[in-house]
Amino acid sequence: MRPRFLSSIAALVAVLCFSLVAFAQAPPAADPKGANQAIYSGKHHEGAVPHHDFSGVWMVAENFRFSPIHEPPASFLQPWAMAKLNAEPISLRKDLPQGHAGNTTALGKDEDISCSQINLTDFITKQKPIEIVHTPKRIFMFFEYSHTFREIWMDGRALPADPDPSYFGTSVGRWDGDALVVDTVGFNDQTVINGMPHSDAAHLTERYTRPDLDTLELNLTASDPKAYTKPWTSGPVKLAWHPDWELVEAFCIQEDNTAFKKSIIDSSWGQGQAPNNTKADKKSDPK
Amino acid sequence: MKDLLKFALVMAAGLLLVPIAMQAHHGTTAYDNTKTVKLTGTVTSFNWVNPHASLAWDTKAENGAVEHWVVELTSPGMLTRSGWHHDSVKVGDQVSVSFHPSKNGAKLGLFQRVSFADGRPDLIDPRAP
Repeated sequence: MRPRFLSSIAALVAVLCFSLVAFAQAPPAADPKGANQAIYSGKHHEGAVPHHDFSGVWMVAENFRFSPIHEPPASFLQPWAMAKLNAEPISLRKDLPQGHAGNTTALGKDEDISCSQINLTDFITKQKPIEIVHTPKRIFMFFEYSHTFREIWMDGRALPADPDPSYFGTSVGRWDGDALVVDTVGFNDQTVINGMPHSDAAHLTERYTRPDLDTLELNLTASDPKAYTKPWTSGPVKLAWHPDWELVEAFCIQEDNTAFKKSIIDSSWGQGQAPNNTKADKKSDPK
Repeated sequence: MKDLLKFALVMAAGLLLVPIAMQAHHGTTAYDNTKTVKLTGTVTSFNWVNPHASLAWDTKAENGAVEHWVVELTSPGMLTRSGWHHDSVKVGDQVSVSFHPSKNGAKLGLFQRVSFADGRPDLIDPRAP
């Protein structure tokens, strides 16, 4: 009796597993709702992974505000950095690394609604399209959101010893086997790295691999001897390949952002009334 | 055999939970994703702007009063890739709009689908499950 029972359970497990695999490989549904899901997950393409070539339009498949960090910030932030993190508005998500839900709505308050918030890690981990273009000496990443780009120098140069601070920093890349490794220094003090404060000694390493034609995986490592007690890591962030996509213009216009948010907030709460949790957002609104 | 069975059961349970977890990440805290409301009315605005498009319309309530509703959509870029255009919805269109209502009871929602009285095909938000 017992062996038969065990066999039945095993059979049930096998059927469950098989049905899940079959479901995962099912062709796109004729229903437009099903087809639309490919917007995020991407479509399956057959073919070999091209050598040292990530050309095309990519988008993060999973919607989260920040890439999950593998350990609590308190375990690697120096006291001044921890104090700064705690003093920041809600947009820095003090609940990291546990919380990373994508509350990308005006009422949800987590959308990057201020155009002055420019963080490289936001651009490479947010669910917005990125076009990667290879040239002989540089790799470009064009970001649909904000209609802007970053460049990765691939000409063998060294990282600058004393970089001029900037929002995206200075990036130098190299191939490590099939992985593209990008080192960046020189982030200015207006930026955060994946939500974390940093100093002028910050060093971010992005490691991109392409395990299959449709997937790019990104892992982050951040070090900063002035702000962190040890390097911390984050990822993997999975990006889906969308070879049939073209980027559209999506400048970040503060007036548009503010008007949009106002229309939602006003509709929600009425003139002269605002929910308590909009305080952080009001700081970033232009006067 | 017992260990193998335990392992298989845990793996199967884990596989079952993966889609649920992924779905949860597409949720938004301000809207009640467990509820879908459908209202019929006349479009008063369709704003094709970043970071999100928005659609507003007037609905006649049961007591005869006109209620003004607003829903937020995804970005124009994502809508474009889903077959939308800046003039897909026009002021004056007679529509039925499905959306997830805000949790705070405001006349506000997260857009899911719009149907047109003139028979045009429905349009949906690519985020709609």
